[in-house]
Amino acid sequence: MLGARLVLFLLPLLIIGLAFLLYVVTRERGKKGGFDGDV
Amino acid sequence: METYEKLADPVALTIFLLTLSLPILIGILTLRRTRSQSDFLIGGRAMDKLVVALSAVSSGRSSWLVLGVSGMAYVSGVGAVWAVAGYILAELFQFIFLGRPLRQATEGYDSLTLLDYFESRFADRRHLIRIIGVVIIGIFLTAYVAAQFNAGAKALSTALNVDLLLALAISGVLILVYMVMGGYIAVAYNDVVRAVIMIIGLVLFPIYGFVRIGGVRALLEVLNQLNPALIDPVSIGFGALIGFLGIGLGSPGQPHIVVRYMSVNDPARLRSAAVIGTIWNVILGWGAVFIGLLGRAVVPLAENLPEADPELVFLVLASDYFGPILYGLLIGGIFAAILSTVDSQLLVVASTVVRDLYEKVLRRRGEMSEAVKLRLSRWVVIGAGLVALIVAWTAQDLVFWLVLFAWGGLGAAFGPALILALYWKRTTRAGIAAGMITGAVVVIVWKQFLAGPTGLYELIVAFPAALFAIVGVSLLTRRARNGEV
Repeated sequence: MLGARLVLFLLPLLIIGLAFLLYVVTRERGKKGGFDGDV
Repeated sequence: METYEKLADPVALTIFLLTLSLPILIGILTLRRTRSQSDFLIGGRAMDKLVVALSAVSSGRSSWLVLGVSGMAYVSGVGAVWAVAGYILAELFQFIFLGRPLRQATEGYDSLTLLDYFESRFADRRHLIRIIGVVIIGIFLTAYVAAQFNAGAKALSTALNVDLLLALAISGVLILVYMVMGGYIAVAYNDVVRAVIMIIGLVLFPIYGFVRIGGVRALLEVLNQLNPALIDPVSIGFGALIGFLGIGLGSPGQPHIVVRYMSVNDPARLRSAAVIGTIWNVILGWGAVFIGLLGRAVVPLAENLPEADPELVFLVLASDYFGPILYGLLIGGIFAAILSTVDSQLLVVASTVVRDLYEKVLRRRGEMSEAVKLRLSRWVVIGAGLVALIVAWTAQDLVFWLVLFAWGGLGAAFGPALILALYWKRTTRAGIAAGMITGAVVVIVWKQFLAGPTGLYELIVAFPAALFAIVGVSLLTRRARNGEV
C-alpha cells in the first residue's frame, strides 16, 4: 500500500517539482540562442 | 445499461450540444486575427505561453487519456501511472530543451512547418527530407485523423442515437467550420477551452469518488481485497513498465505537438509554459488513473460494464456520480478530447500538403501573395478534412491497422531527427533522411513481427535505431549546411 501511495501522490509532486527546478536552472540560458544547433 | 442513457435528459443533452458547438463560436472570434498563412498555420508566432502550454498538452492527449488510461488503470491498477509519467516527463523536457531552440531556429529560417525547418537547416535543395517527411506525415497522420474521426463518430452515433454516416458528417462540420475560419489560432484557443473542460472532469471526478468511497485508504483497501496486484506499482512487470514509460519517446516526434512550440510569442516563455503544461498534464493524467481505480472498486467485474469494455468505465462512473449538467459537460469533454487532437493533426496534414508539397516542391512559378496563400490553406483544410472523412468511412480496417503504428512511427521518424538536428552540428541531410526512414520502418516491422515474441514496445527499439542511423550516416556523409553540399 505504501508503494501505491508513493506513485499516486509523491510521484506527481516530484514531477511538478522537477518542472519548477528546470524553470529555475534554465533562467540564464533563456536569453542565449538556440539557432543553428547552438544551445 | 446503455452507454449514454443519461443523455436522454434534456438538460444533459443541451449542455452536451453546447459543449460540442462552442468551438464554432471561438472560430468566429478568431477569424479577424487570421490574416496570413503564418497566422493560419502557426498563429503568426504570437501565441501566449498559457495558450501554448494548454494547447500542447490538450492536443497531445486525445481520447486515449480519458478512456484509454482510465481503462488501463481499471485493468492494471496503480501501475498505469507509468504510462502517464513517461510522456509527462518527455513533454516537460521538450518544452524547454526542444521547444526553445526550435522556436528560435524556425523564426531565423522563417519556417512554418517542421519539414520547412529540416530543409532550411540542411540546405536541402533537392527536397529529399521534405518528400520523405510528406510521405510519413501523409500516411501516419492522415490515418490518425481518420481513426479519431471514426472513433468520435461512433461514440457520437451511440450518444445521439443517429446513423454513423450522419455522426461522421456532424464531426466533420464541427471541426472544419472553425478551422477554416481561425486556423491555428482557433484550434489553439479551442484546445484551451477543452483543457479546462477536461480538467473539471478529471479533478471533480476523483474528489467526488473519494468522498463517496470513504477516502484514499478505503479505495486502496477495496482494491487490495479484489487483487493485491492492483495496488502494486510494479506488478505489471518490468517489460510493461519500460513499455509504458517508453510511450513518452513518441512525444518529441509528433508534428502536431512540436508545432505548438513554434507558435509561442517569445521562446524564453516556453520555460513557464513547461511548468504550466506539466501541472496540467499531471492533473489530467493522474485524474484519469484515479477514475480507473475508482471504477474498479465500484464495478469490480469488467463484464458488468457496457460491452464489457474497461475503457467505458469513465462513462459508467459519470452517469452514476453526476447530475445532468455535469454529465453533459463531461461527455462533451470526451468529444472535446477527441476533437482537440483531430483538429491539430488535420492542420499539420493541411500544412504539409499546401506548404511542404504544393508551395515548396510542386509549384515552380513565382511567389504567391499572402492572401492567395491564406485562401489556398483554407481550401486545403477543407480538402484534407474531406479526404480524412472519406477514408474514415470507406477504409476503416486499413485506418485502424495504420493507426497502430502512428504514434510510434511519427515518434521514431521525427523525434531523433529533430533532437540531433538541433543539438548535433555534424548531422547531415542524408543522416536525417536515413533516420526518418529507419524510425518509421523499424516501428512497423517490430510491431508487426517482433513486439509479441520479445514483449518490447516498438519505440524502445525504433527510437535508438533511428538515432544510430542518423549518427552513422551523418558520419559517413559530407556536411550539407548553409549552402555547402
